[in-house]
Amino acid sequence: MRRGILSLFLLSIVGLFIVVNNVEAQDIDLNKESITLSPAINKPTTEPGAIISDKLTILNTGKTEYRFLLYARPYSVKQETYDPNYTEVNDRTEAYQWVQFEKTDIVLKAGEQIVVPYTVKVPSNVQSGGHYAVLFAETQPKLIEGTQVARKKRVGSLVYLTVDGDINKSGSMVDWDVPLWQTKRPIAGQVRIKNDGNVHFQANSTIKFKNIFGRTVLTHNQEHIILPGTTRRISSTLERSLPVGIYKASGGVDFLEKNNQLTSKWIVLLPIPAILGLLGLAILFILYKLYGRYKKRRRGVKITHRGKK
Amino acid sequence: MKKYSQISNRLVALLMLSIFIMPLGVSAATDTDNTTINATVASVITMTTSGSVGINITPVTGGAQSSASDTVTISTNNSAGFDLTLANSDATLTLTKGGDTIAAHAGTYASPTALANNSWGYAVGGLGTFDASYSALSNVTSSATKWAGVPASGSPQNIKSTSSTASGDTTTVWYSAKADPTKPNGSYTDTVTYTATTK
Repeated sequence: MRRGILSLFLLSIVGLFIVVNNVEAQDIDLNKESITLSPAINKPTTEPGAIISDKLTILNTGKTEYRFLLYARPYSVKQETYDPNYTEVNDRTEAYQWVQFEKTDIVLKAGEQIVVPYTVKVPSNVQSGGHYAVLFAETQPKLIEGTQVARKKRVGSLVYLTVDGDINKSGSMVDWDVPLWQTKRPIAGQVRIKNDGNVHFQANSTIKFKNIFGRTVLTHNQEHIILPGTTRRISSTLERSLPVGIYKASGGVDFLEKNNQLTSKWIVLLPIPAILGLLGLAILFILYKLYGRYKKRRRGVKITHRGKK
Repeated sequence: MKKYSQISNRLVALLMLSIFIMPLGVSAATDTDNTTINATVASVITMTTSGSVGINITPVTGGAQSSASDTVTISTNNSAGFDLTLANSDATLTLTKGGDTIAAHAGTYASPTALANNSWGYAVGGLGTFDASYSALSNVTSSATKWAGVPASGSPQNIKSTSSTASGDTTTVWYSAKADPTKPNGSYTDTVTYTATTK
C-alpha cells in the first residue's frame, strides 16, 4: 500500500515536471519571429526605357504576428570576400531608385503569406550592362517594457539587372591557392575570379578534396556571381573534422563558357599540437638512443676493466 | 474425325483471341504518352529569432553587468551561402531612456574588450575574435568576457559569412550592459538590425 502511494507521488512529480517543461518550451516557441523571402536572387534582363513587373513572396513562418516594411537599397560589395554594402550609390547601384512596390507597410499573421507586386522602371538614358539593388523585407520590433535591445530583422532579395546594349562579358581566373601546410581545421582552398566586363557573370565551381588513398572526402559545388570591376575570392572548406594527414584538392571552375581546370594541390593537415607531439616523440627517441649508447659504453668499460683484472 | 474438328475449333478460337489481343496491344501503345515533370524550386532566405532580449541590472558602485542572448537562425537554398550583418538601426548608438543614455562600448568586432562601466555592447560567441565561452551574466561586478560596440547603420558588421546552403544555421548574439547607480532607473532601449542576404 505504502509502495503504491509512493510510486503515485513520484509519478505525479515527474508528470508535473514534464508539464512545466512543455509550457516553457511552448512559451519560447510562441515568441519566435520568422520571416521568409522569395526569390532571394533575381536576374532580369531588359532594355533601356522598359518597365519590368515582378513580385516578392513574403511568408510569416514564425509563431507571432508582425509588421514589416518593403523597400529597396543599393547593392555593391567590398573587398574580395564580397562583404555586402547596402549604402554606396554609384552608376551601377542606382537601380534601387527605379523600384516601386505596390505595398510597403504590411502586417502578416503567423502562418500567412503575401505576394507583393513591384515594378522596375528603367530610365531610357541608362548605361548598358549590370545594375544592382537589394529589395528588403524588414520586420518592425514590438515595444516591450524594460531595458532591452530591440531587433529589426531584414532579409534581402538581390537584383542583378542586365540592361541590353553594349555588353562586354570578360573575366579571368586570377589564381587557385591551396596552402600546402594547414595547421587548423577546416582545410581550405580558394580560387579568385576577376570580372573585367561591364556585366555580372556566374561562375560554377567544383572543388574536390581527396584523402591520401585517392578517395573523395568532399565535393563542393558552388555557384557565385561575379560583379563587374571586382575580383571575387571563392573559398571552399572541408568542414568535417578530419584526422591529421595528407589530402589533395582539385576541381574546375566554369564561367563565360570556359572551363578552367584547377590543378591538383597537396595539403598537409598538421595542427601545432600534433607538431609539438611529434617533436616530443622525436626528442624522446633521441634521448632513448643516447641512453642506449651510454649504457653500451659503460658495459664496454666494465668488460675492459674485468679483462685487465 | 471428331478429334480433328475439336483441334481445329481450338485453333480458330486461339486465332480469334489473338486477333482481339493484337489490336488491344496496338491501341495501348498509341495511348502511351511521356509526360515531363518540371519543378521549379524558387530561391529563398529565412531569418528566425528568439523572443525579446531583456537585460536587467541592479546597479552597484563600480558597475553591475548583466547579459542576454538572441539566437539568429538563417536558412537558404542558395549554394553560395549567406551573409549576416549586424548594425544599429540608426546613427544613435546609445541605449536611451528619454534624455538619459548608456553609451556604446568602445571595443570593436576586430578588437573586443571588457565592458566599460555605463556602457553596452554585443558579442558573437565563437566567431571573429570572440571566444566561445559566453553565458548569461546577472549583476556581476567583474567579468573577463569581451564586448564590442554595435556599429552605426551606415557601417554594418558582417558577423557570419557561409559558403554553402544553410538549413537552420544558428548564430548566438549576446548583448550586455553595465551600469552603476549614477544612471537613473528606468527602461533603456535601442534597436539593432540583423540583415541576411544570399551571396
